[in-house]
Amino acid sequence: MEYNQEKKKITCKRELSELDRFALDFLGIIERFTDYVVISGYVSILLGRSRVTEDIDIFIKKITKEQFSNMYNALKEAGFWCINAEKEDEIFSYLEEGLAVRFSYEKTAIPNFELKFPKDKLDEEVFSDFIIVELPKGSIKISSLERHIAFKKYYLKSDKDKEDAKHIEEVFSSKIDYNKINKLKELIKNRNKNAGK
Amino acid sequence: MQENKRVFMKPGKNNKEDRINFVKFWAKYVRTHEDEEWSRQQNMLINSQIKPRVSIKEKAEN
Repeated sequence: MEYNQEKKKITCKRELSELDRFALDFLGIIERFTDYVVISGYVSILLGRSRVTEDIDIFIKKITKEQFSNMYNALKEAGFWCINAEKEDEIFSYLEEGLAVRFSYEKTAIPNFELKFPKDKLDEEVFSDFIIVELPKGSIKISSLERHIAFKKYYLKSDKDKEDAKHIEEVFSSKIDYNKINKLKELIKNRNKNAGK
Repeated sequence: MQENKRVFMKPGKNNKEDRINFVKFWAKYVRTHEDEEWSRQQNMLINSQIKPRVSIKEKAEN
């Protein structure tokens, strides 16, 4: 894997997994309607972590009801279904309430995509420093490695999350900006404090 | 060109340490081996749990 920090691009000549194919299928539709950034576990898995997941988490930029309607119809047409509800009004209202909604291929529930709108400035910043991972058959936008590590270590904090962070720290060791991680750590701490966590 | 060399894992004193040591070992493996090589092994794990499906892109190409 080659990480060009200046261009914010990782070139990965990996053999695509079924999870990668699912991701490319789904994201190819999403990006026709709004911006997205993949966050959390799949970022580590895409970049080599030796584990499986049942879901891929993404932030999508806030969209209008009409834009959502178009996106939902395109997803249905392509063979995806929403696990949480069928009516688009209901699905959209979940998103507006700050909840995540899940989509999978028709007649299956795993793997699935978990979509949500960013809920505050810290979440929204994911769209300003994302990285593009170039794969043999397409590309995927992921959160910056520093943001990924900071959220795994200081927000999610389970053993699995800490291991996900460790994998990225070890693979990209010399290219990680620890000043940025420490700044994010403070922002996460403040957010946790404000939320009473 | 990445160097393909044998890497070794230090056994952990308990399960947690052993897991972290494996994460470090595997990360080093990823760093020192070609993408095709580590991903082929990783895919044995992933693809054993996810049903293969003809992707939309592949359907279109055919």
